[in-house]
Amino acid sequence: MRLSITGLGATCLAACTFKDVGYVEINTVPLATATTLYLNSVKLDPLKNGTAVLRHNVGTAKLVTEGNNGRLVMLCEITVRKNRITTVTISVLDRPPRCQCRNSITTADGSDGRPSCVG
Amino acid sequence: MPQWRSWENIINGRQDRRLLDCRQTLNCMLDDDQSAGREPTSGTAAALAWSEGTKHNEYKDSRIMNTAELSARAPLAKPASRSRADERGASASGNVERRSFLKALGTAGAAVSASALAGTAAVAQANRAQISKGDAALLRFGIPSFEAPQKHLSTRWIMNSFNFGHAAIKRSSMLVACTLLLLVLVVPVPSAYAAPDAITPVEDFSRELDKLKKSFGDLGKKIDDSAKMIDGLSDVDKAKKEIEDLRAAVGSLLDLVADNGALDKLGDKALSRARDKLKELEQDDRFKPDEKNFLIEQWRRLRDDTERATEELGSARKRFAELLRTLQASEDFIDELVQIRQAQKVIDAIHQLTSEIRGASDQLHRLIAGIKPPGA
Repeated sequence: MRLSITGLGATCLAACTFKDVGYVEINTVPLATATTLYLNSVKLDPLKNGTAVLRHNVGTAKLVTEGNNGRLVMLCEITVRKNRITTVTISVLDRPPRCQCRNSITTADGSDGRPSCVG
Repeated sequence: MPQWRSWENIINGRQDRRLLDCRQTLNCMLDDDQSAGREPTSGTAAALAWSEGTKHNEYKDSRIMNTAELSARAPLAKPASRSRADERGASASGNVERRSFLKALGTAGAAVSASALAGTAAVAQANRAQISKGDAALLRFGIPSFEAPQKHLSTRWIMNSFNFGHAAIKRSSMLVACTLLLLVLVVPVPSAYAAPDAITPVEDFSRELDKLKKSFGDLGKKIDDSAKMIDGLSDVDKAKKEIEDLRAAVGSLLDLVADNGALDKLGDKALSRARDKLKELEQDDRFKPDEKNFLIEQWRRLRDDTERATEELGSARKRFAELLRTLQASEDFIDELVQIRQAQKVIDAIHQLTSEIRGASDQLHRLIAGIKPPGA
């Protein structure tokens, strides 16, 4: 019993500690710090000098911004791969802001024409 | 004597004065015993030997308090007292041990007091009597020349309170005095200058930056080695594996400096702490104007240095991100090359197949041409 609990604990610890991570670089054009952004519903701190490099678990993440009426608007989907960086530039001049991927993939599923950035 | 001193020296000087005051007290007790024709108070001579040993060691390290100055401040022990101390049979090795011990305590106490008074990042390190390079740097910039108060009134008052008269002194009083001396040496005087919790974020940030710098060196070596290895590799898989390892190494560094990474959080914390502290101090009325100005100046420097450090962290983040992009682009390029090679192989296979079909067809043609109908 004790052994199984220890094993379970070790597994949980390993799973929590050694999760694969990748990175997301977000740039804004022009340099804007006032844009409120969310990455998978986590509100991001204001970008320093219009750029941020964030670590993120491997998988897909949704980049979201606040629209004019306070509603959340999805900008693009970001695919995070292990030890790789996915760069996305947000043009804040557009209304709503628009994502420009450094490297994108075309998906046939319902992304409503929004780009899917990949690292 | 120079008008400007570092806090460190001030602390050393203060400890010398404490020792002298105590030594003076011990000498008085020995003189009393001698004049009364009784045995010296138990432990007095040994304590005196300690204090002298410590003072001797402190002199060697002291940069500002020379013997002449100290002599002028307090009368030195009489030779008779010293010989009496020797007669007490205090063994030389025992003295050395006790002196070393006391000196270590004194040094630790001085370090703690210095860091506490200077309000720098070395508080926790000083408690362990070890100061890292980064902390030492912080300590150095944290204790520049400053016109220190010439007298520490509180400690002076405490020591003067124990100036026993030549009248009858209870033996226990001496023990109390020595215990107090030890306490004063070991435990730093609670000071309004000190705020260990205030400095902790800055200290943590400094420590993590040091670690990061070390990691930079390791990574540089690894990149050089890998670049050489990749140049010599003709095996695509091995080259890819090598780049993958490099990506992992760069990724681990980027992990540290990422905007949502540990170091950046520490930097933000340290910076906001320094800013808050500066605001607090500007509204604080506890200190004299020169002390307040000194503290404000130090926190201002600390804030500026932390700002610079976070900016450097930002540029490091940018470089790592760029490096990671380059590596993954190289890896992708290799992937593309592999795909082209594979496509080329397919084309070659098709060519081969076409050629074989053509050969078979020719043979078939020849065969058909060679067939003659019966009777032709």
